[in-house]
Amino acid sequence: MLTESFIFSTGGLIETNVDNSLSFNSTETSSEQRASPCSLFRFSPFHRFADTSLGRVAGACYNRTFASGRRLDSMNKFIEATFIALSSILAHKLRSVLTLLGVIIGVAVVTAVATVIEGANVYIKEKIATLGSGVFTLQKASITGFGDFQKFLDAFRRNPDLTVDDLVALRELVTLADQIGAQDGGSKAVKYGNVTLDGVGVQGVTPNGLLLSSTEVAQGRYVNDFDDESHKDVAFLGSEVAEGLFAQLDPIGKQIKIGADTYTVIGVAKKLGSVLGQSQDNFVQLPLMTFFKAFGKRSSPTFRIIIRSRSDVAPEKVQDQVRVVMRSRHKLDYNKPDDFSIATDEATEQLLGSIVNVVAAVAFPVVGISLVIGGIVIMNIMLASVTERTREIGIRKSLGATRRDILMQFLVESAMMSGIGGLIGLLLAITAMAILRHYVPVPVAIPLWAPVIAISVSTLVGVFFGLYPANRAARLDPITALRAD
Amino acid sequence: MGDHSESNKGNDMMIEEAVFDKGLAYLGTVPSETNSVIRTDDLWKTYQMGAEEVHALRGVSFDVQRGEYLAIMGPSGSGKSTLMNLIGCLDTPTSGQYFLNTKLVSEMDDDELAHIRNKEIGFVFQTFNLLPRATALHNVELPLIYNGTPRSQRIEMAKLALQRVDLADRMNHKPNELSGGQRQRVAIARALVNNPSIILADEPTGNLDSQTSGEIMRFFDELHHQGNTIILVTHEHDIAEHAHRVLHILDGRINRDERR
Repeated sequence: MLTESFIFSTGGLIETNVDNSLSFNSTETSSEQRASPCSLFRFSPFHRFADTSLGRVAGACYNRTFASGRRLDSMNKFIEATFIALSSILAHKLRSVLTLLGVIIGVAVVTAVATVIEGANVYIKEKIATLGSGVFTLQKASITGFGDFQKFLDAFRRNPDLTVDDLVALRELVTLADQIGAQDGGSKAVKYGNVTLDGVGVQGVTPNGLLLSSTEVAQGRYVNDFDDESHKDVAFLGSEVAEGLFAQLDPIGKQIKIGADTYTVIGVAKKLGSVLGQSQDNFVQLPLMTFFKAFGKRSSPTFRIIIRSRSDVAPEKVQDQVRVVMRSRHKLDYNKPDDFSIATDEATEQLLGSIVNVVAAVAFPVVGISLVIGGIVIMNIMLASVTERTREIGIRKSLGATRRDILMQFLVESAMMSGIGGLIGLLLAITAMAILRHYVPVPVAIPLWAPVIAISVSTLVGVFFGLYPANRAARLDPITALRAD
Repeated sequence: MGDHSESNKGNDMMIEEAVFDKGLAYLGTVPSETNSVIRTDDLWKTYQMGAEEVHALRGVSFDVQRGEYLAIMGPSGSGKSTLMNLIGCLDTPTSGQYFLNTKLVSEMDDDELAHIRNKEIGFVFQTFNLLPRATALHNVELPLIYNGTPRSQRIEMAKLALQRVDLADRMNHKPNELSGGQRQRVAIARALVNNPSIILADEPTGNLDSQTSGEIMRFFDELHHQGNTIILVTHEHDIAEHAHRVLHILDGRINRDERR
């Protein structure tokens, strides 16, 4: 034991010196030259055996020295194992691809799902949850959880509509709010000259609408207090409507018609893009009071009140205040549930997050199963490969390959094969997603961790399922193996 | 363990001693005074065939000196192959001792045997046993790979070995692009590349026509001339003729030890 560890520690010292002389040796290879590293160290025990040829001693000296440089040793062997693995995989291309089908499918599915989930997350953050922090809406009813659509319909039928009076009362009584606005709307036809656009979202908005949504002014101005108080017939257009009606013309000051009434265009919004395939720019916004004047009511089922909390107050407190005001206005007993709904960005995110979780919960077991099946197929083919190459294993063992060398050779092969499967799966998923994005408005974003996970998981599958066949190869008896045909 | 912290300080004496120790450790036991490459003492090999014990070797003892040219002869079933497997360190005896270069090989485990095969023995087989998908050069490189020789050095040494068997111009050919004689020469180059203590050839001409056999045997003669220790295992008299000493094996024993 003592000598063993001693050798190891001094090995490094000797190795560097021998390495230096190696570069010189590789060009000049006469046996005298080869002996030089030995004489360099006055390697007396070897010289005692230098009775046949100098070259032999030099060779022995090399072997011994390199055997001590174990890191160099295993690196060399690993590179060799990699080459063997590659050539073996390339020699059986079809078999390898068929073998890898399970892994390819598994990795492709996991990557696709991860991509969609990540895409959905990014999308929710960027496009759907756009109210900003501390902003929430008061609605007659809203979908608050995944799978309770029926509850939403019931609430929608039962709860009273919100009214402009509610808005007025909240503005007076909710002292913790920074801004309170409202919005209502419906789908209408909009006309300019002989151009008619159907299905435009015509909305009534309060002048603070800019503060409570992601809408921004591109041209002209937004609805102001004066417009609202005096029920002015003015309109602020979404970019899609402006383009649709006016094309190259300047829309500001033009007269458009909605139903029988005429409105003067005061401004155009910046383009917002689309969410889940639905354009966010197909709207006309009128002052809220103008909207109600035109469409005949001071309340509607779709009327929403939008509240922004003061920055120094927790949104929950503001929501409580709103709740108190609304419950007293609706004269609810303390034991009755709310007959209105408060929706926050967080709730929306949670809702969509729960959908994503369901997708993940379905997809990941499928992936797991296909990876396990893929692994078993790899194990099977590796076992066949070990049998097929018994003779080769025998030859390698007769030339000095240890159990570890053989084990590593087959492990590297199955890991590499499986890793290649992972790579193919990954590329497949990326291609499929890129094509899908062209045709369907699904959000797509490839998370950085996806390729890393895909390759490493598939490689690990290869290592795990390669262990048994590799071990079997490593334990083969060299005599039996050499005799195999 | 305590010593090497001191040797790392750069004390020359210590380093030299460390090197000396290292050398001794690699050589196994204390060097013997004799020049024997092989010394066997009462080797037995017994196989269990069901309830029956079959003795393939029944106490074989012999020495081989460095530089000897030895043939082992015997009919099939004589125990000749078993003896060859033991000498080649592919197997260990049931009882008895086998020293190769003064190292007690008969007590070694699998991995130690692998190292011995790599360093001390150059195999030449009847069926060549080359890797079919590898080039001649790569086949010759194999033993060097398993002792961790760096790539550039390895290729250089493999090329030299191929030059020695006059196949330098064929080094990028695969075995199926070579004739039987050429394949066996690649195998000889592979056996030589690590400068082994013995070259162990098992029916090296068994798969070759008589003319090619003659060529191959001339290579062995030449190798012997250069100082190599050669052991031929054969059942052909005209092959055994080349050797200077013939061990006749019969029923697991040495029947006759004939020197010329």
